[in-house]
Amino acid sequence: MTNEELWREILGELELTVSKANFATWFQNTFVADQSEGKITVGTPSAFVKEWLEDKYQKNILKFLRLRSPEVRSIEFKVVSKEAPQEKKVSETKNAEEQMDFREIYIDRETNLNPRYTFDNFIVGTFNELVHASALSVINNLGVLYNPLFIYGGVGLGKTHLMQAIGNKIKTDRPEKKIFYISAERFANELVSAIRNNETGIFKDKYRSYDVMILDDIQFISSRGSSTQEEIFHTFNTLYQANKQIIFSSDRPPKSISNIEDRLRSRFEGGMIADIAEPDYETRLAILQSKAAEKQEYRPSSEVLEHIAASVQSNIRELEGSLNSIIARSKIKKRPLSLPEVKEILIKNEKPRKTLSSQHIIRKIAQFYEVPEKNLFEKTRRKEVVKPRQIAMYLMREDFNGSFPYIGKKFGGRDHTTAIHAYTKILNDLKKDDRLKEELKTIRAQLYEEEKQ
Amino acid sequence: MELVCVKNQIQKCLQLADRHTNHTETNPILTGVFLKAEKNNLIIRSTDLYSGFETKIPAQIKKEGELVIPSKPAISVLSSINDEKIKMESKEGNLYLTTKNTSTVLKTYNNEDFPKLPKIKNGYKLVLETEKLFSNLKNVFFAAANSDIKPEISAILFSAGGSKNKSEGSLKITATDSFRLAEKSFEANFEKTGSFLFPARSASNFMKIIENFDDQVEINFDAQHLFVSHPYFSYFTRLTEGSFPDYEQIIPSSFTTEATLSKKDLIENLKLAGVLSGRLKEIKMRIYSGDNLLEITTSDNEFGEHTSHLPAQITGENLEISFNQRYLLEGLEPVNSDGVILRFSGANRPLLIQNPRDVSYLYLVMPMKSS
Repeated sequence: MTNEELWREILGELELTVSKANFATWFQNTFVADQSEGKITVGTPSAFVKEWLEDKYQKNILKFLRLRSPEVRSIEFKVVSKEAPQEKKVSETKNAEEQMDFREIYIDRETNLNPRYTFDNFIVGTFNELVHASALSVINNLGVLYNPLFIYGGVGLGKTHLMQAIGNKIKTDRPEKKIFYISAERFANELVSAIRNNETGIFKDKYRSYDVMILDDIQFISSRGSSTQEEIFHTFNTLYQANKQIIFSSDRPPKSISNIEDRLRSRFEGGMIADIAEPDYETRLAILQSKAAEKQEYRPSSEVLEHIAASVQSNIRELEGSLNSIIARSKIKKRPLSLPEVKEILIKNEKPRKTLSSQHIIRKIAQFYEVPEKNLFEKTRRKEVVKPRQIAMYLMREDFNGSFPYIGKKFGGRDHTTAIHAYTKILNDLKKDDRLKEELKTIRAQLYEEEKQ
Repeated sequence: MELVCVKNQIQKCLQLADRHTNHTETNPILTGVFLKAEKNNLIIRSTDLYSGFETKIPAQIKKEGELVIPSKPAISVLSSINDEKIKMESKEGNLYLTTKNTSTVLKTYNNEDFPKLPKIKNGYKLVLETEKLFSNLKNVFFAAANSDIKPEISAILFSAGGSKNKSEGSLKITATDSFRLAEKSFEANFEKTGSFLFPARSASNFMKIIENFDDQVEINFDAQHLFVSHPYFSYFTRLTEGSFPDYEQIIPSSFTTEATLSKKDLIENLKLAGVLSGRLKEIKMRIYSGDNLLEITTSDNEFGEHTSHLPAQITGENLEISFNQRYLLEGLEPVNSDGVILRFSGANRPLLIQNPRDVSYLYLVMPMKSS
């Protein structure tokens, strides 16, 4: 008789001796967890049930048990954790798309991998075919074929995604493998603190126990001292000799990483080097389409997607960012955006980084139009002052990203409607006045030129 | 059973006990509250088989005895009675509640045995002042996730010693719902380091309890359960199993913009701006470094817009970033100083909110995607 059959019979007997309600409360979800050397262990769903059965039913249960299998001598109760979820299932993530979350919360503690990155949502195009194929070969030939696998490519092209996807795939296919993902920077920090606390032994044992080790952004170690590099070298050697798989990523090929020791560089080059190039137009469009398909509402039209794919060229992360900001704007307006509106948003996103100060802008404009700076703040409507002032307000809005109330305040406590008026006036003038366009171009060039120096 | 006790006392205890009754259970006695008259005390106990609560109040006992009553009608009756003392007497399966001017008869459940709170053997021990425990729990409780999708964050992490700051006797409690995170450390007595996950839904009931009692509690816990003892009450709950996220790596250590300003100013203006923050409760912050100015703007398609300018001491770069208004307010409230420091680490990166001079509390919140 199996444990289940035995327990079912016992429950059948007990059901006759107690009330229905009592039976449901105290015997539901109990089971024989273990039977060995005459001792039966009964699993209970909670500590309350355990104590209750111990207090009231131990004798009866034992009696019934021994009728069926006389070798049973004793009985024990144990709480076996099965999380008993109760009511109160509130889904709080209504506006999850707008509110960002800590990605790190979802990271698997054992492997340090984020389960969100998989091959299912990794898009393959001509730009990353090679690296994708190498990744798949590595998964099927761990530690043998391409070791190490060295992946390089520019920012936001999916290096981390691919590496994590490799890790996650190995984890599901071969759960017995110990995988660990870490950024080179964190690896170096851990190493430094291990050295400081005299725990290098523990550190080495930890890293040498992994079957698959994934080190992201390895170029960061070039800024570290030779002891970190040496440790990476030794860890690498130990793993390599034991046929453990190692995967590196970097933003540039091993040759171009400066300040690393030659023996380390030659190790990097010893396996397979695969690069991710910039995606072509078709791939960018495919990425956008797949990202857009994930969205619940206000999916942009194909015309809009094509425009994004054509104008954001170098970076997949930026591609996604542009799509998100267009959808966010649609939500505010409660309608899909037209192509001109989308163009406007994209142009804004392309703006150079704004590290200018407002004083800087004002001074530059005063210089450019040859009016004394203080005149811009005066309450005068002379034509030669009004225009520079309006242009200054326009630039502070567009490039400096100041709010209208802030801009108004800057110009001698003017009302924010004044700022809005100035902004829209220049905006409209720009559409028909080519000279103005040229002037602005020159001002901007001068502003950003200076900033660079 | 026959006794006389103070009406307000039994009313309060029944209200606490009622929170631990189980109404999905088929067994009727678990939907009720157990009463037992013994020596000079009336013992009150309830459980939903997940957590449980027991307390006692002084009473003049004329006849010992025990029974289970439906708690909801009893509480409703008691809260409508104005008399100070109440007499309780059981007769033929009924409970008679008599005061100077009123008389009520409540049906009771069949007098069966009622479960006891399980004890914990060989657990870890922690001793805490109830008042301190309550106020510190209140500082982080709200940040715990409110759903069962990821149970390990629908819980509050209690971590005694260990972790980064190895200061002896420091207990750290942390909660996060993946959008924000609150952490508070305070002094406690414990023998050895250890940690557990207090389920958030139990924690809210537990806070209601400790709010009503002074003095110290002793907490005992093992891998699955927690038992709290106090001279006047006991509490038991199942713990959440699993491990809390490795959250320390989320907390940024370098910042691109820091703003120090009056907490009161900020809260008042966030509330004001919140009126027009729309369905998403989105607050846009602009930080003008050169001007020492923090600007808060909101806009609501239907009703209008708002702007507030707050003077602040600012270092670092200019920044534009959006947050959920409620998340900001909830995290600011526990900051125990007049000033507050907002430490930003750039767009799309979390904001750290702290007391400028005390690191025992920290609140980390992710921005909203800017539009």
